[in-house]
Amino acid sequence: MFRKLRSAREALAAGRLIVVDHGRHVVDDLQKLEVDETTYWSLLPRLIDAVLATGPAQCYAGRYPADRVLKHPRFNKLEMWAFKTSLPEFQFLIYFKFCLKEPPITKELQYCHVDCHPDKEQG
Amino acid sequence: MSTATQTKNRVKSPLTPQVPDFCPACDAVDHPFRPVRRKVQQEFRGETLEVEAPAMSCGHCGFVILAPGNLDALRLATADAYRQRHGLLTSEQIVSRRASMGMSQRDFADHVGVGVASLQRWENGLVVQDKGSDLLIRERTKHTLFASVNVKGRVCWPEAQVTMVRVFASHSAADNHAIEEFIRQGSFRQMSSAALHRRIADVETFATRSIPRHSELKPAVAHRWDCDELCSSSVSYG
Repeated sequence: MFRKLRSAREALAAGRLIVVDHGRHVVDDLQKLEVDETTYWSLLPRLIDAVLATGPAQCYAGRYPADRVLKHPRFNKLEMWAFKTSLPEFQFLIYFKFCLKEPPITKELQYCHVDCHPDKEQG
Repeated sequence: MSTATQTKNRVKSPLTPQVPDFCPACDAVDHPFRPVRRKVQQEFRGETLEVEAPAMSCGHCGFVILAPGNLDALRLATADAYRQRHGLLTSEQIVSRRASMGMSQRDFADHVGVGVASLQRWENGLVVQDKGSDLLIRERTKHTLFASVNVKGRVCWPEAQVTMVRVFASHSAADNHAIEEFIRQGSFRQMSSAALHRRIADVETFATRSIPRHSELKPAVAHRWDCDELCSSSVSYG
């Protein structure tokens, strides 16, 4: 799990971020977090840093084994990694989920954004 | 300048979604994504909305991704689709109502009784107002949309007062809405004198047809209402 998170962090640091399926929930997530677009994307690396600092096992919010992308059969059933953690400016836990996609040529992993919103269990 | 200082001074561009040179769905590697406008589904406040927004689509398999700079357009389109479904004012309509009263955001927020930060978020589409706030905006702006009507039953348009036209409270919401839409079509501040007078004539005709009771207005009330006075008073217009 550490390795996945570090890969995700590296992908974000290099700007390799894509949003799958036109971000079906992304507008709702923005509203719930009450942030603008720039702030929203900048949360992602900070959330990963927070998870790495706290410990991925404590923050893991997915299942064992990890769920896979099933809505898009062509998406190779990638594993989705879900975590929840806190950031100082928010009064609630934030849940975020992503998968990592390896391109056929460059092999540089892409961060595929799935979710980032207030934790529903807590809310 | 030292390397350390150069590194420190380097401005890092904000993180945004990128258009990859491959398709994550079909693995095509020849920069397959092209800009398109697509009807896409958005889950918003527990409802599924279909909105048209800019997107990037794979030329091989049609897989759609969100591209840099598209989120603002998607957010506004989704928020307005939700507002229309629920009969709420759109961002544009809120701005228009405020502009018709010639108020700054701070003044308008005070007038409506909400925080200026909330008003800013509603106007830029960041947040959709709740039903209560929407009703509050309608209530506090319904009297102050259009020009006053004088005692002889003619719409009074002294050029100095032309920025504000008023509909009085004794008419139905549907009438008010119709007149509001009619007058909103023109931007009076930017009109030439001749165009302004033509527009005044049009509004007179429309208002005479739509406001049968305008001749019953009392002169003291009809002339230059103050917005607050109108909203807080219980003057009977007939």
